[in-house]
Formats: sequence, structure tokens, C-alpha cells
Amino acid sequence: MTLVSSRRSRVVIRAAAVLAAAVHPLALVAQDPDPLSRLDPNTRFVVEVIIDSARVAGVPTRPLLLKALQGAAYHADNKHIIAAVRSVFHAELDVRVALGSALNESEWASAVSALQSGVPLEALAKFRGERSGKPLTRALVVLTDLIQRGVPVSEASSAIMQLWQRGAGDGDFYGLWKNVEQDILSGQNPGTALEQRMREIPVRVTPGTKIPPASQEPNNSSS
Amino acid sequence: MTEPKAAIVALTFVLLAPQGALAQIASKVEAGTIMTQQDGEVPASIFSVAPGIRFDLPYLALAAHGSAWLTGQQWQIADGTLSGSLLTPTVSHFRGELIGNASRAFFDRSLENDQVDGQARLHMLFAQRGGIWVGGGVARPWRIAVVSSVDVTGGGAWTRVGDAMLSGTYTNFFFTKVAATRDSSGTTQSCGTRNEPLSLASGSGSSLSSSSTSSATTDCRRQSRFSDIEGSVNWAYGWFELTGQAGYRFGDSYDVTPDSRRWAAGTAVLWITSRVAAVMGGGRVPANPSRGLPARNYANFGLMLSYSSIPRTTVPVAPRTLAAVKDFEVRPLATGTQKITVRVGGVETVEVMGDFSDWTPLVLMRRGRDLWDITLPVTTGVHEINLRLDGGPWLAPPGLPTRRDSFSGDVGLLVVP
Repeated sequence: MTLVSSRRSRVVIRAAAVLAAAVHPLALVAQDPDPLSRLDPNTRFVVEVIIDSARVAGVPTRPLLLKALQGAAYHADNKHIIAAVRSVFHAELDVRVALGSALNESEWASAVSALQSGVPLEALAKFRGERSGKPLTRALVVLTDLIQRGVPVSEASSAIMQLWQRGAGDGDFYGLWKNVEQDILSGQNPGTALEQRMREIPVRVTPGTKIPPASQEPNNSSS
Repeated sequence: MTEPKAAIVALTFVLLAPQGALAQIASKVEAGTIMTQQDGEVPASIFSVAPGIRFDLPYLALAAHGSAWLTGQQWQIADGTLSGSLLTPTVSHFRGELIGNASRAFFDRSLENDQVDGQARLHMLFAQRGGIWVGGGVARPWRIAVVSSVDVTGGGAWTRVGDAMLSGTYTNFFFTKVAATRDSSGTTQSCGTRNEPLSLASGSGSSLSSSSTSSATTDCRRQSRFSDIEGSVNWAYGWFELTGQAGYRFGDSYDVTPDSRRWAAGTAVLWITSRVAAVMGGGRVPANPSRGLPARNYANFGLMLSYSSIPRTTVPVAPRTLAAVKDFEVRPLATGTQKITVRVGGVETVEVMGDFSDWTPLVLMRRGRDLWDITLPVTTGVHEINLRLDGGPWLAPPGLPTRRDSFSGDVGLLVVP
């Protein structure tokens, strides 16, 4: 009896330990069952309408929810929150036009960020033709950051597209970003920094890839 | 049955942990030699071990610390304190704070006492770079020959200049002592010239003289007051920290002894590793009438083993900018779990929030002198993330790509492969 009890106790303890290991990390961020309750009722109503519209349109709804929660976290006023959520929704509709619907969650998010940072729709659309199953996320994140740091939109778009067409991988994009960031922080002109760092990246042409001359790259200015 | 119960307790802890995970637990142990000298007495040298632990939530802080002395061949508990403070959210630059302490001191048979005290403070913060506060409270000591209760009022101001925190305080102490005129042998003594006789018959101070046993004058009440003005500086530079304070005590000569008129002290901390530091200090501390402690000179030298090195200041927040962040790193621990590590010194809280937390702030746990971390479930993909120090503005963490954001200025873009 004692042996059975002891064995059972050990099983219980092990089960608790396993459960502890499984539950603990995930439990660090408890999910709010009704996160929109952080908004005031009027704002919530409008945000829910926009989310419904997104659902009907077939574009992701979670980024809209997150944008509203972000606004609430920063104590933004209601008009500001609604405008921001609406802006994300419109950007998603534009992304679908530019890149289609076959995007994963990260690609949606990075494409929306790129558009909202000033990348023209036409420049974004060029990634669709050259995609061939490669993930877009890192390229678009770096493009967004370069524009944010002051690289002219046309130069940044052109450079990232060139790399993309050369078959650059995530490491190439990250390396380019890291180097340009350091150059800019040390006082170099953002556009010049990008131009110089681009020359250092080796060309890795994948079979069948057509490399257009640089002059044919998108040259849209920020509008 | 013990083991299943233990398992249930462990499981309960795990399930309760999410709330606790938003808190920060910090602990430290100091060990070293303290040399003290009271005026007119022979200098004493003791070996002291002083552990402390602190538990911080965004609006609640609980702390306990104590010390034990090795005198001769015997260990002796010297003192212990439990304290807690409750902070309100900041509304229109104002923030309230309730502070409570319970402590016991046992330095020797003649200096043994307990005390509980409570204070309320109102803080006004100026753009997170400085602030002022006013407050008041009461302390109730026991087993002190010279004090029955202490009313405390005061105020202070603080500001951060570069890596230094400067603060100044003005504190007014009002002491009341009610003592029987009869000693244990029944002999009646006069109240003296500075004491006010209390009598049940006259009704004067009847609430204070509840121990009176006759209608004749049985108790004496003595009131005294003094005020302390003190300035302090805390400066941290790399692996070196310096804390100093100096003060002056106002009051008439009967209430303030000459050895407590002015004082100054300093402590230097040199970090050998992230969690081990050499501590040196010395100076003069004034008398503490509410604890029955006389003024004394002291010097100390020792080691500190710490998860928390920076003393909690009298101010509720002391924000730093992200320029102070030396390193920001995100690395995978297990599938879907990322560990965020931040290296920043001289701060009391580090928080992150992002889409992975539904934009709810999460407090990082302190792991060393300047090391903070948190483990989070973050899925693969791109995530927006911001970082905040000491309740300051939310900013994009260094070392990450960023994007302009309509709410916060910049937001970091974290790509989890």
C-alpha cells in the first residue's frame, strides 16, 4: 500500500513538473478574453465595424485589433485610434492589390509597414512578379527601416529590389541593414551609405533570374 | 500524502505565476566589517551579514531586510524591517504613495525596540525628469525611554543630471513622550521644567494619560521637535557607483545634541562582476531619537552578492533614455519561446510591450547589476516591440529595424525566424 502510494505520489509530482514546464513560459502573457474592452464603447463600435469589413474583404483582422490595442496602450485619443485602424485596413487592401492574398501573417504585416512608410504601391507590386516562393518579410522590414532612417524612397526601393532579384537571402538583407545603420549613426549621408554598402554585397544569381539594369528599377519618389 | 500536497502546492504556484511574473523579485546579501564609534566610547568592530529582498509590482513594493552581527563568538540579530509601499498611477503629473514599515532593532540590551510607522506622500512629476513631494505620517515606537510617538511631516525634490540622481529632503519630527511620575517603587517625581503635567482630573491630555491611576497629576508629557535637511547624490558610472549624503539638524539645544547637528556619509560600490561588488563606506549618522540610537561614526568594508544593487531612492520614478541601453538581445529558448535580454544600468524598471503581448506592458526581471530579462511566447514572423525604462516614454529598442508609428513615434520590428 505504501509502495503504491509512493509511486502514485511520484507520478503526481512528475505530472506537476511537466505541467509546470509546459504552462509556465506560455502563461507569462495571459491573453485578455476581451481585449477591445480597453477601448471606450464608441471607439470599440467603430473598430469592430472596421474589423468586420476586413473579414468580409478577406484581409487579416488581427493587425487591426492590435493597432487598436496599441492606441489604447499609448492612451491615444479615440479619433486617433480609429484613424490608425482605418489606415491599416486601407493599407491591407492596397497590399492585396499589389501582392495578392497568398501572404503569410508576417508578410502582411511587413508589407503594410512598408506601404505606410511611403513605399509606392507600384514598387511593392514588383516584388510579386519576382517572388517565386521566397519570403518577403525581411526584405520589406529592411526597406521600411531604410526609409525611416532617411534613405530616399526611390533609392531604398531600388536597392532592395536589386538584392531581391539577385537572390539575396535574409542574412544579406540583415547585413546590409546593420552596415547602413552603423554608417548613418556615424554621420554618413543615408543615401550614400546605402549606395556604398550595396556594392559590397556579392551577386548570387539563381538560375533563370533576369537582372534588369539599375536604370529600369523603380524610381518613385515619396509622395 | 505529503508529496501529492507538495505537488498541488507546486501546481498552484505555477498557475499563480503569471501574476507574479509581472513582478520583480530582487535580493542581495552584504557581508563585511563595520567599525563604529559613539562619542565617549571605545570604537567597536563587528562582522555583519545583511540580507535583503524586494518584491516589486508596478504599483506595489514589498521589502524585507535585516542584519546579524558576529560579536565575539556569537551571532546576534541586530535588526529587521518589513516595509511596503503602494503607489497610485500618475494622473496629470500627480502620484500618491502610501508607505508602511514595521521594524525591530536589538543592538544591545539597552537599545532594544520595535516601531511601526506609516506615511502618505503626494508626488508631482515634471516630464519624468524630476519631481517634488510632500507628505506626512506617524511613527509609534515601543520600549523607547524617550519617545511615545513621532509625527513626521516633510517634503523633498529630486532631479536627474546625467548619470547622477540628486535629491533633497526637509523633514520635521515632532516627538511626544508621556511618562508616569511614579517610578516602579511608587516614588513620585516631578515633571521638571520642560515637561507638562497631565491630570485626569483637569481633563488636560486625558487621552494621552490613560495609564493614570489617580485624579492627581500622575503623568508628564514632554514634547520636542527638530527638523532635518538632507541632500544626497547617487552617481553610477560603468562599474562604479557612489552615494553620498549630508545633512543639518535644526532645533533648540535641548532637543538636538551637538553631535547630531551635522553629518555626512558616503558609500562607494565597485562591481567586480555583474553580481558581486566590493562596498566601502563611512561617515557620521545623527542620533535617531525614535529608535533610541545615539549619533555615531562608522566605516564599513565588505562584499555584496546581489541581484539588485541600486538602492531604492525616495522618488517614485527616475526615467532614463534608451541611450543608456548597452545591449538588447532576443534569442530563442524553445519552440515559440524567446528570451529578451536588456543590459542597462541605473534603472529600477524595464518593460517591453508589443503585438505579442496584445500591447500590454510586461516587466523584465532583474538578473544582475545591469542585466534584465523576460521569457515570452513569441511566434515566428515579424513583431512590433517597444521598450521603456523607469516609466519613461516607449521607444524602439536599439539594434532592431524600426518603423514610424502613428502613436509612439518609432516602433521596433522584431523578426523571429
